[in-house]
Amino acid sequence: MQSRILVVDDEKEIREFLSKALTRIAGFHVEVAEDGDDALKKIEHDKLDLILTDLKMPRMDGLKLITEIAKTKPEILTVLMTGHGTIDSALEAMKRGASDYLTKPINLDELVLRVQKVLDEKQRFVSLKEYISQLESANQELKKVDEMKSEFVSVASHELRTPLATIKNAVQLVLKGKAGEVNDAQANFLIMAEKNINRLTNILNDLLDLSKIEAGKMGMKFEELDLRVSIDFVLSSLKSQADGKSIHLEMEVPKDLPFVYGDREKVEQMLTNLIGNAIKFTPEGGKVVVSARVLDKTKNAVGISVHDTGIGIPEDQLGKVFEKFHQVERPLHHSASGTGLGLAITKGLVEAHQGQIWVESELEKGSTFTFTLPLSKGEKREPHFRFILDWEFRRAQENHTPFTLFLIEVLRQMGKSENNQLNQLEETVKKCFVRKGDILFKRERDNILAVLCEADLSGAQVIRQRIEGEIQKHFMEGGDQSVVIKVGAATYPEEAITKRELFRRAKAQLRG
Amino acid sequence: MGKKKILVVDDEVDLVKTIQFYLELEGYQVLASYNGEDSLNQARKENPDLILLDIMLPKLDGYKVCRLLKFDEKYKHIPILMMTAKTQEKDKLIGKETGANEYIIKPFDMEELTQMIKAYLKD
Repeated sequence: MQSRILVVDDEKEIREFLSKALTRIAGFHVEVAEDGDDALKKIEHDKLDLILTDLKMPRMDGLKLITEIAKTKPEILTVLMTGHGTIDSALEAMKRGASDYLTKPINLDELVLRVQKVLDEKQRFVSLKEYISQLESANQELKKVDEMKSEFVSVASHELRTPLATIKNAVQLVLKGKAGEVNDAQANFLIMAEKNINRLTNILNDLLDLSKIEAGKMGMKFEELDLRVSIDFVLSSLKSQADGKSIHLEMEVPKDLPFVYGDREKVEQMLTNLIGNAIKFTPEGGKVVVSARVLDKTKNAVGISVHDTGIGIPEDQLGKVFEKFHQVERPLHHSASGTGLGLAITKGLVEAHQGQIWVESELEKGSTFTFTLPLSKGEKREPHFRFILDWEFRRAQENHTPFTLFLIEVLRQMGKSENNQLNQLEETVKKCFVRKGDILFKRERDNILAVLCEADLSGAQVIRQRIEGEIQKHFMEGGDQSVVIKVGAATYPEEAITKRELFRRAKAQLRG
Repeated sequence: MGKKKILVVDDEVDLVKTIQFYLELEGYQVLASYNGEDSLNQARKENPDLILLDIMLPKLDGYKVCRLLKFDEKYKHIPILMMTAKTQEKDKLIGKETGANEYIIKPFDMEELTQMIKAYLKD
């Protein structure tokens, strides 16, 4: 497209000379104006690309014109022509928005070159801007599509769950003989159906997890974690699966391993994925070892390794195992029942912990998956109450033993606080918990003693009476009104079957 | 002593049927409801011992039904087990505000659900 240029100079000869030169040599379309005012009028009516203006002119001079154009028509380029020795004006013009300047006397070749260059730059800038805006809108579009995808996965998973629940219930009803007698062949097919319902459920869960990870919407609850507890928990939950293949599970974690910082549920999900895979791909009689240690190099992370004596991964597939839906090609008898999403999810979860994951493997010898988790900033401390509660609660659930949580709180009356009351209370209460396995935990921050013990509802009532008796004896006699001690208790499974409910129930009694 | 009464609320009629069948075999009296408004009326009229409540319900969603009951002195003692097809944390949090006692994610295991119900209905 032909560029349109306006030449502004109060001297008619110069105007015409420049106009002719620019038209003939460079083939521009050229308009002329005799001063700033005239130029501004022309700009209003004509679509122009560049203005070549003299500095010294009557009424509005070049500098003012440049300033005005930069303000009102920034898309029009300006080039200033100055006389010898007025370099300061030239710099001022550049500051105010001119693209370039030329000093008189004007060299025609230089003039054309400079003007052309300024126009070219502008053209490049315009196309770059267009390109950027195209990219931006394409990016917006992609984001929208990606959101739609996440939304779709979420809705699909949601919509599929309800019918799945009905199918599962129906199959279980028949399978358990609740709707009449079932023969062996029928039972076998129903078990098959049930297994596949569970598999479908796992796929839905994995898909949803992955879409959340990809959208960065995986809610993380970070806390200090004792990895020993988590590893032990996952190993014991996978034990029957390992036993079924006579695979030996081992844990090599130093007793003084510092706490890491992580989301417990997610860390256990990673461990379950990796250890579950290890068991799946290890032949009968093999071994799976889970180890953890502080990394030598940086000392600020723990490396957790899951090593197996399994079939191994071919070298050319090592890089791909963390990809979505990737399943290493393997002989038929290693029928994999996975979703192909487990390792991709694990990788996403590790990365959400600012960690890394990698794999080393040798065919027919085994594989080692290692991931890192950040060390908790705090020093190694006594295990947190919550961990102990978690731990004990799970044990009770697995062993089907009753379990009671006691909370004993010292409420100080105003102005009469004594620091040793909690210690005193601890001494007093200790007498009621003499059995091995009873765990007493002191929370100085909120003046609470928590006790976990293996007691059922009637046992808990007896213990409660004893505690209250001891407290009465040691604190209340002598009419001391400065201390109020409250006792709350809840028993699994009679009174609460989740940890949360257990805690809430015990706590509620402190307030009562 | 009469049979304990359980109100099952879900707009999926078939799902309600399977739960009803199962729980009746366990010796409970089961009332069914297929939308939020009706479930609220039934809960107030029948005063059940426990409510199994879906979240996505026509007319009045499960959160609201739960909140309305849990903030009512007369009914707040009734254990409410929420059934949900969603697994997002956000939903659990909203559920917490409503005062629901438990959350069960669909599909669930009838055996486990029955255990849970039994634990809540023990005297």
